Amino acid sequence: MNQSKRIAILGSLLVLGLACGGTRVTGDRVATVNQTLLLTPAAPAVVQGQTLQFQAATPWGSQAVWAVEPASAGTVSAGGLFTAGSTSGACTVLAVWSQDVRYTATAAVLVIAPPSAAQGTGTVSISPNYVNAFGAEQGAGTGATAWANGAVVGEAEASSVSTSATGGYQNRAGFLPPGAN
Amino acid sequence: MVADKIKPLLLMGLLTTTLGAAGLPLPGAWGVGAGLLAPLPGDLRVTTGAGLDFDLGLHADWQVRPGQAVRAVLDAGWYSGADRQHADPSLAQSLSTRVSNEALGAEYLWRPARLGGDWELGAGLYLIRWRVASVNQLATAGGTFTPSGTSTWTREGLGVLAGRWWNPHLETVAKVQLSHYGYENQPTRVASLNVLWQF
Repeated sequence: MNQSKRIAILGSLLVLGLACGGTRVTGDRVATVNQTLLLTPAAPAVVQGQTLQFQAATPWGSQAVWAVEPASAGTVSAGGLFTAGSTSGACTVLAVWSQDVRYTATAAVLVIAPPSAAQGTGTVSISPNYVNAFGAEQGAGTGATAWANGAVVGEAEASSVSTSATGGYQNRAGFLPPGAN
Repeated sequence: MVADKIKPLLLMGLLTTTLGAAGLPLPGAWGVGAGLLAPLPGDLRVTTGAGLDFDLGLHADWQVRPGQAVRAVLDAGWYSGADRQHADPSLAQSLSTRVSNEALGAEYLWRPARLGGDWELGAGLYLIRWRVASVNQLATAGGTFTPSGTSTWTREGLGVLAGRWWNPHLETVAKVQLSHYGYENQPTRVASLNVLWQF
């Protein structure tokens, strides 16, 4: 084999080698791009009218464009601060990375009604060794505790819920966030 | 991203300095070219789609020794684009991407005398500015959000080529060019077949 043929064959092999390398399964395939944009929290619950700060981050920067769908569920600022609207229900917060809009992430948000406020003042009698809805354990002996107006976040176990003894007092005014149980 | 913007200028400076130092004040020949591009299977092809892609270019050749030349190239490529859809219970996504690039580079060309001087083998170094224009439509049960934008990156590239001179002005060149693009630095492999006309 003369030198010119060897040169031609070597050149052809080099071109073929470069052309036939392995492939990686990354890239902007639809529905995989959001694996790189991390949105937190991913599935929060927010009380109507309240705010929640979202964070969107990639290894190369965190500036994002935000949207809420449906728009009536709330608003989200340029910095990712979500403000829930006045209607309960599910909505989606969408984040798109500003530097490359192929990168997207979503969070499922539940907007929930606020807890009803406790009414009036009064004295509540609690049986010994019960834990009241405010988290205060009632010791043995005569139980008589006074509270001012307040709302309870979370729901006590049924056996430990105390009820008002006098007046219109209701100390079981909490709500149960999704997944709390 | 400032580094991305000055890379082409740095390469232009490097080319000028190198060629100037080699005592080559004027190119031996100028030329133009046009051809077809074919992204090989992989990441870039996901973004470009599998349609017909083409490029246009300018080049200048300096004969450095008998049978050897240096070619400065400036190419621009346009890719057909890709449209992809995906749907799951909570989100339907439609992503459209259009890719284009510009490449500035230098190629070393060798014309073996034993092949009659009509054939040419070469290798090149390039700076490639990739541009991806995207429209990302995200539809939920509550509505549709459609952000769009263009992202750019400048990456180094490497190429090998083989050419055939049909007459003193007309050459065909087959080339494979390797580079990367995107924030994830995904690999690109593009084969091209170009027709060059040298003045």
